[in-house]
Amino acid sequence: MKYADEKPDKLALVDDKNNITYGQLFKRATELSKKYTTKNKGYVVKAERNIETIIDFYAILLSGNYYVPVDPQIPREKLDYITETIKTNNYENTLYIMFTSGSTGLPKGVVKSHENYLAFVHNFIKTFNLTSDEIIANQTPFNFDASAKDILVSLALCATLVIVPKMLFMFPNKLIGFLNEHKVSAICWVPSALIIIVKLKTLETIKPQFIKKIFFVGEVFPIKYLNLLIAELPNVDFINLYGLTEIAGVCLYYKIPKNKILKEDTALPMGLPLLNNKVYLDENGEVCVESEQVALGYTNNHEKNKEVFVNGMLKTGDFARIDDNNNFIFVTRKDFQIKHMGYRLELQEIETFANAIEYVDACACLYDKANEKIVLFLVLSKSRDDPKKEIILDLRKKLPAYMIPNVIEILDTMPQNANGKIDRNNLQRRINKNGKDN
Amino acid sequence: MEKIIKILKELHPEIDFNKEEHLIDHAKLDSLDIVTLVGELSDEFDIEIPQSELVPENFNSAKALLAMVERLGG
Repeated sequence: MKYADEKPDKLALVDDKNNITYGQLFKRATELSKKYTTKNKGYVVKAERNIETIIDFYAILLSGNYYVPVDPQIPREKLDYITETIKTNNYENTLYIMFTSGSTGLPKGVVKSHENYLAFVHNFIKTFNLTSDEIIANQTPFNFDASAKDILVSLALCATLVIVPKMLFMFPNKLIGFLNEHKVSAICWVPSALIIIVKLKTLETIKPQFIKKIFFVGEVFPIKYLNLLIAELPNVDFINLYGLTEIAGVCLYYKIPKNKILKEDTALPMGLPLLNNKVYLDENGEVCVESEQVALGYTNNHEKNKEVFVNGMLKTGDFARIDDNNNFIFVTRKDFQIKHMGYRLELQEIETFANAIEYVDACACLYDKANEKIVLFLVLSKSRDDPKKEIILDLRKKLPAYMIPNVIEILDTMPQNANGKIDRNNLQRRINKNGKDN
Repeated sequence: MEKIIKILKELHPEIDFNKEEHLIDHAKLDSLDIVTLVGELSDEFDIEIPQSELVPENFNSAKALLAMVERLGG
């Protein structure tokens, strides 16, 4: 980080309690790096969203090692699994490993290299003309891959990163006040965080005064809310980003044209390839990416490696088409994964743990897309006093908060189809019907 | 008070809302819960909750929610 010498007094990081300059950041990280005496080894960091975590990331990198951010409330078993798994990482030049949810209940570790991120940062900064004057506000937790964009782009630019306290996202009027207080110029958030601002009509009372660019990432932004947001902030650039954990940063972007009202019944385009990314559809319509940003691979899943990383080309698992303006348009996701609150997760993983509970006879987990709720259908093997509460408490021991079902429905029997399998279509129809009744 | 407890229970059956007084401070509720609550309370009590009332103190307990609803004429 050359900036520590060039601009030591430039503000680097801000959280709700403290702030530090680039000079201080470099000094503190250098000091802390002495603690890490190995080389090319992974260190698990319980990634609280504060300045200290970033100092720790930086210290680990300075020492010639790499970091592995995890949820600060990670269950013991999962932490043990991750700690063991990273010992088998053979990739060179690892920058960090990010663990994502896997269908077997075991998380997958995606390995990103320094080269991956250098390429992304260069491509991203050039495409959007970002400068060291940016003040970037971070929303995504540090154990989610989207946060790496905020952190690494900001540090590479010698810009300022403002870590927004989680509580503010519940009270958007306070949130906007906070953004104004820190003169935030750019944000890259999940749509859920922005939709709340729209739903609570916050912008009718208070507007962000310094924001020039709003990026969003991680899930599809429903156009009815996006149009309302754009109408309130006509001078801001809105950019839809597409990426996945298996790539550093993003590989497609769609800048919403000014003065264009998007049609509500269409999907927002994934857009065009980011600079230096070759993105194309294979014969089945699956989105494939070739670029220096493609991650090195999974640490712990050789089967998946062969399926997903084919000779350095990434098969994303997302299916798309290309419109007349060369924009990629999302069609469907290959497997069982869903996006909930901006997080990618597999419903099967929730089922895996629900099925493991002693008094659960059968279960099926589905997604109520219209209401953004995870719905868990259960048949109990013995009666309980307060089954809904007990299930939630039991799942909490195994799953992160965003994977806890929002709705639990206790059934007498599980509907079955002709093959004797759980009739998911039947359950999905129930969800759709209930959704409409509300 | 019963109505408020009922709405809260729908969101989080596992929380004892008669006792809990730190729903926000202890992160028992999330931002989607707040949006749902604002909608449900507005409908149930036929009130409009202004931005100035959307502050953590009003959402920390069922009691605080009730006080806000009453203040707004619900």
